[in-house]
Amino acid sequence: MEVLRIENLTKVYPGGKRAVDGLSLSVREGEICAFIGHNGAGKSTTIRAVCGVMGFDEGEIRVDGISVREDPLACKRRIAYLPDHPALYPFMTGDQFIALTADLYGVGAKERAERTERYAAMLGMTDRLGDLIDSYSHGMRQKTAVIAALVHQPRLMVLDEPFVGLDPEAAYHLKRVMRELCDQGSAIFFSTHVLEVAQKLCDRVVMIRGGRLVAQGTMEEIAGDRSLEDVFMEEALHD
Amino acid sequence: MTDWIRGTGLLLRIRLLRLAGVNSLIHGHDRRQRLRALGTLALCLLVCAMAVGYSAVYMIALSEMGALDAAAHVYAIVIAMLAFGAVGLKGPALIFGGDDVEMLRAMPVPTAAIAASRLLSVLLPELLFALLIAVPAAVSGVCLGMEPGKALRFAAAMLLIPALPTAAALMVGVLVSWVTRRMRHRALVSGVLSMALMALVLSGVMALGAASGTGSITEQLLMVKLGRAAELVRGLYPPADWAYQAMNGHAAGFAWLLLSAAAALAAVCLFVTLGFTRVCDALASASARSGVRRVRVRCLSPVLALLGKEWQRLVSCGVYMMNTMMGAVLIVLMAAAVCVMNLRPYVGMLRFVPVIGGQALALLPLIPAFAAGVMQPTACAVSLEGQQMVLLRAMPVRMRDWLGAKVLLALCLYVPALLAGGAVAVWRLGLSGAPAALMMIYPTCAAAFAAVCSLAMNLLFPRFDWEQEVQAVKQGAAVLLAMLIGLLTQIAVAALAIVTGRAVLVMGAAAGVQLVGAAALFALLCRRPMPE
Repeated sequence: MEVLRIENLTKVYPGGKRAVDGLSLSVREGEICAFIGHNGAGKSTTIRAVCGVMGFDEGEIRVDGISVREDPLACKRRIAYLPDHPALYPFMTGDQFIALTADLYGVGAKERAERTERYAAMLGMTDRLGDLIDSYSHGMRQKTAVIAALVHQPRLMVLDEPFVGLDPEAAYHLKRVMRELCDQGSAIFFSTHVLEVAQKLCDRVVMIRGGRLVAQGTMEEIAGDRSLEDVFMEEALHD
Repeated sequence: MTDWIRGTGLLLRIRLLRLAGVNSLIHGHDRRQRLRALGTLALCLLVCAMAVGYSAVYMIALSEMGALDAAAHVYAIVIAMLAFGAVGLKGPALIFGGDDVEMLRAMPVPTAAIAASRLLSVLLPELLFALLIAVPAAVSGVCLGMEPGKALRFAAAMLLIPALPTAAALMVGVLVSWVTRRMRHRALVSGVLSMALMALVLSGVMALGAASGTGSITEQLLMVKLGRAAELVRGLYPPADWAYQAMNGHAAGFAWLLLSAAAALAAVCLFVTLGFTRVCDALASASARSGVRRVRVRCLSPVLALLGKEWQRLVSCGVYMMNTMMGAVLIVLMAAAVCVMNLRPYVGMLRFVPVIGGQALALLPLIPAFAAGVMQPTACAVSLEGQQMVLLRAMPVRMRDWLGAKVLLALCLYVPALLAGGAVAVWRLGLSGAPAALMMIYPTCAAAFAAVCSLAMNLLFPRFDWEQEVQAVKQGAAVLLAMLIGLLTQIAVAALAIVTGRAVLVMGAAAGVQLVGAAALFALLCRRPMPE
């Protein structure tokens, strides 16, 4: 079953710049899909449109069959969004921010406590969640955002450069958690510049350039015996 | 030496261009950014014009009171207080903080040049402000008959006054910054202290006004009190007396003033240039103690969860707290004053107020309504979301819950103060019937209306790209428009009440209209999409 379906997505910024131009892709249950492209290719624009953060001009985006345009709240209840620079509330502690997220997503008390402790222990944040977010490093903010994203067990997790700023141990655990989430029937759609991680972790790859789809398919279909980096560079030089 | 001078000049130029939005005005690439920079510059010019105007007018006031000779003491105290306040609040952050400190320290620029440029960027505006106060005052003095030489000596003395308070403020500011950075709730502590200080000043002013209003202070007594105040100042703040002596041609006074200014400037230059690296590192490394985890197990509804967030934001931001809670503090102070004062003379006097006449008591609810109308937290509550707006847009948050939390915060701040103040006024003034009911109901309805109108203004004119909260809280079209609407609404009600001669009826109807209007406007706002 498709968790995310994007059809003919187009976004034009004021001034005429076509950030995304007729993009179509899908992500199924249990899949981890890497979204790769050069800087300015339209990855963040696409991700923001999927999460309802930004509107779009043409096309359709459906999460679990629900249109983002027609019922944005229902879609957002199913999505967890992790931006590349998580702008968390600096005046809150990690615990308070996670509690706020859990309240907004309607997570019960017992479940939120269990999940918070579990993911905090996994990511090494147990002793720091009582501190103000203002005192956190970038990596710690990233980890707190991950815990807050996972506390409501989303159907679709959308991440923009999730591994930037994470220490190796945290990155390892995040990959583990992503795989676990997919094994439970959710899907993950994430953008990354670290192609080695994408190659090892992902089931599908979507490659875009200039807002347009360049390639889409399983890792075997796209890369075969070659590295994803070679495929990406070949596409880049092809232009 | 050449590197040092060149580095200082280049860095100082950058810092001065940043002041008053000049650089954004020159290089801003979109119209909105340029308009905003123009607004900032216009505001700065307005403040300068006001300083010039007040300075000149105050000299006239002193002359009319026959106290022109007290000018040196008065202006010295004012300039010293302004310098101390401005530098104490902003100086440490401007000199030792900023995102560019690390970048500059990694460049081949002498640390002394970085330090000197930042120090000069603080001292030069202080000097300019002292100039804007001293010169108009001196010119005004000459027009009022002061000897030109005396006026010139007065102006020169005033230019030397800021040095000592600036140096003191900087040292104290650095110490306070270092201590408070270790406090977990430093914004709340500083906000409460600031409001306590303002409440103290307001109480003193109100007490003095009340005393003069009931005739227990005459003009002669005021002059005696001014004289006593001058004696006190002489004892506590010698530079004011030196300024007085310098103005009157005593070389010793001028010499002491010059010496103290030079010593203060030398001390602050040494402190900043030699201690720059150490102080930057000390302030950067100071952080609040680790907090004990307090995990909340109780689930809250989305609106209450968001209200909790709004409350936390309020108490974490001193300038937001000060700007929005002062209205409630003022109402509480007025209620306290009503409790302790003898109101008979005032009630008697009200009957003789022209135009208003016998309706004065019925119009009293307008006073707390004014206070609640012009200082609403919702005027900047949307802008204060800042970069976190993206977070909210990605979450399943209904507009009704998001906006409702903001309005609820405003009502939680104002309604208890309004009800308590109204109850005290009813009791002390012996009101009954409709006027008594209006004293409680009208300000509450006005506060609700002002909260929703201010929210509407902020939704129409949001500002998310602020770097410091003060830009969202004090600047921007939304805040000004919200204040204007709050003011004009109550003026319109007052005018209608006076013109028709039916204050109780008009205010009753106005309360209803404002309440219904608030509900209708809120419903309309909930249908809008979240701002991008």
